[in-house]
Amino acid sequence: MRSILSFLLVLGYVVAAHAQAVQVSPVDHNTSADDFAPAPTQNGRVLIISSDKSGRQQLYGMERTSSGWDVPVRLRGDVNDGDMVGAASLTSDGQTMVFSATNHDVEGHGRTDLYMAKKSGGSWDNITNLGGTVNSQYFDSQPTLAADGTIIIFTSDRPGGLGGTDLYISQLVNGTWSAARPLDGANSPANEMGAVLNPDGKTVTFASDKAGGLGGFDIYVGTLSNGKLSNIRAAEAPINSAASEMFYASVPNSNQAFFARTSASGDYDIYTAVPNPFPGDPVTTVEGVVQDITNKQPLGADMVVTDLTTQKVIATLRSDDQTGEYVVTLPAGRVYSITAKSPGYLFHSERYQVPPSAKSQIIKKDIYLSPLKGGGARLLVFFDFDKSELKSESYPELERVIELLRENPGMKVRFEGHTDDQGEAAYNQSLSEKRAKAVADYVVSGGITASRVSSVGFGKTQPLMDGASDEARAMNRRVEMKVVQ
Amino acid sequence: MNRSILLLCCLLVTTSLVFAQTEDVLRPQGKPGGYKPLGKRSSVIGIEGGINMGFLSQSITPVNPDFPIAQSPEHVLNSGFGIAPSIGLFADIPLTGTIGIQARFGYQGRTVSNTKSDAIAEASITPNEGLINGSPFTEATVESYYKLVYSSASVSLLGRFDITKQLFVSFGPVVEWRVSDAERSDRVTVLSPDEVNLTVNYLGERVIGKTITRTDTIPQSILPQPASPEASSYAASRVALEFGIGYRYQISNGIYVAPNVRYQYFLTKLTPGFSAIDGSRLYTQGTTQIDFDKTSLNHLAIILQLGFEI
Repeated sequence: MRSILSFLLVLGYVVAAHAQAVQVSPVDHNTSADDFAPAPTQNGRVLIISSDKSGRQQLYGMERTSSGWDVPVRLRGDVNDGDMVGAASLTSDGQTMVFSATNHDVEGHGRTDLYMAKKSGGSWDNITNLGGTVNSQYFDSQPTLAADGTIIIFTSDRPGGLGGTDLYISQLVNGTWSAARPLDGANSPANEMGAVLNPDGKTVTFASDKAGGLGGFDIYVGTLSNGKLSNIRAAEAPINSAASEMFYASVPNSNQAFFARTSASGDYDIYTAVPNPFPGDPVTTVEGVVQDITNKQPLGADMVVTDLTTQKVIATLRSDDQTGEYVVTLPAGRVYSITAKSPGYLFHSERYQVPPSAKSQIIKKDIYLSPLKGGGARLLVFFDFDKSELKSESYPELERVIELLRENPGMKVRFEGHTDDQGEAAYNQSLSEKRAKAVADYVVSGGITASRVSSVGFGKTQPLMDGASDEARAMNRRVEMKVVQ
Repeated sequence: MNRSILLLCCLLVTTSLVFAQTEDVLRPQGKPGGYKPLGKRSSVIGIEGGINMGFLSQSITPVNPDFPIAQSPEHVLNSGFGIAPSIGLFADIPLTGTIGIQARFGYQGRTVSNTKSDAIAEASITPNEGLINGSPFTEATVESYYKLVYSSASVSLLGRFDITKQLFVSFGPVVEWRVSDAERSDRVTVLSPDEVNLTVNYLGERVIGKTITRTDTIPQSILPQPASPEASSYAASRVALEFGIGYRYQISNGIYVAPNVRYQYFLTKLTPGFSAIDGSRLYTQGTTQIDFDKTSLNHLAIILQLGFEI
């Protein structure tokens, strides 16, 4: 009996150990030159890499297909207009990139600098230097950007560190990057570089050649909190090895990570690690497509995600100009509004709840925009039960209405109130009229001429969804805005 | 002088090597073994081809200030324009990240021509054989035309200065050698009245006709008269200053095309100044000496370069 028990224990251990074993393998299309700094998009379908296979470092993109990774293609646009360009990091929407460049055509502050590029029509342009609060006359390179674009961690050899290259951090405050400072807890007298901030906003991987590693640069993992890195530990073999490893990047909602490792020649190649031992905290990814409601054409739209509880803007992003796709990573267990705007269209706002979850989750949410002429939109406004006074959560949406009317001085709109099927018809009619009028009054109080707005109530006569379910009733309680001129 | 220039070039190259920028985004000290040491551009060799447009100008002044030179058939020589092909080899050697030397060897056709259709020449039915309105001669409207053609080889040594990653300007000297005779074809034709002819004298031989043509390899007047002194030959070599602007576009790894526009201002004139005899007013004013100023011939070239990094 004891023998059987021992056997089962050993068997269980072996099975468990086998199940946990990390497999490290090179990705397709590595070259004999340096291939490094893999930066996966949120959905893991595209990998931005850096390579000097052309004789100088440039940024390339490679797409995952059913048969593997496509051949890397040099990124289009002004982004690659530098002597050396590479080590990019993407925002969660994949529409903004920070990268480093030596002698870029856009003037810098010294040697290698950090820059930002925007994607438009499939091309990476609108290059801007991140400025003197981040860049210095020294080596400033290898940026990693938080998913919401508000924190940047990068490598610099400027004076004031602990030695060699160190990691620095800067935060975006009111649209301006704060003065970069050494990332507490991460640096040593040796060289630290190649940091990657996980989409969870907390887990940071970086490389260091400090003593005690397996050889060359090794990968370390820490937790970012209040601008400090703590709980730092080294990755184990087979991720770390006698070679140098750096740029360890996790793909959200998957068990995969990418990193760079030197080959026998000293050049870096890109590897994948499965399962990823440092996946970070689970994140919720909301993704979808922004389209014209009339013809379903994809639209590039500027989008804002707001936490409706705190009224704080959580993320600003943009859907892809060509595909209309958007992706945003959000903490679970909260209620958000998402607003999309595109020239020639009415803005669209929607409330949605990201359920609490201990696991990664992907929420699909397509957004349809209505053309300005003759268009209509459901407004994201809130009232207490049985009341017609606007709740303060409604104000951001109403400010967007005011902005829309200011931008289109010839436009006239009508606000239409609707209720659900509960209660007397006459009462609902009155309530819907009052709510629509409350919206109109707010807009007029914002400086819009009263003759440009009108209101009407329809009570429960025009439901969007039949039935008496909670979902149907929630759908039918609404205030809509219609463009009448 | 040559030794000084050589020393200066060596110093420039050495300096650029010492201060070569090898830093990259991955390694602050650069890659072990380094990137190509001459910075942002590699040395390039290639071929080029295109067209060059010639612009000729020279002033013609009569000794007699009352002589109507602007009406003379000779006045066709005061300007000219023409397009000819140009081919060549080039090498671009970077000195720093944004500055380099471009050396070129080229072969060009040079062509300019001009037509003047409102010239006036005094003409007769045939000399002394008839009257026109009671006079033995009349003012005839004539068209005069010339075309100058030759071929040249050239060597250029230019400084190349990058404005952006793609856009660059170049500036430097060009030396051109004439590798063929410069042939000038002339033609003068009476347009009206129908019955008159022109009379000219080629080295003692009288030529009478409604259209007179000639091809020659020395610069001289269109309608030579016996006393017309001949000038020396066209310049065998000329020196120019070139200013160019180009756009470098990578079509694949290590292969570039670069459209160029270049203006070459020649410091050496195509001909020296010379004097000749204008016989277009033979019957009323006799022959008149006209002074040709030095001939300027400058070029605007539109060239496409195909370069290969080495």
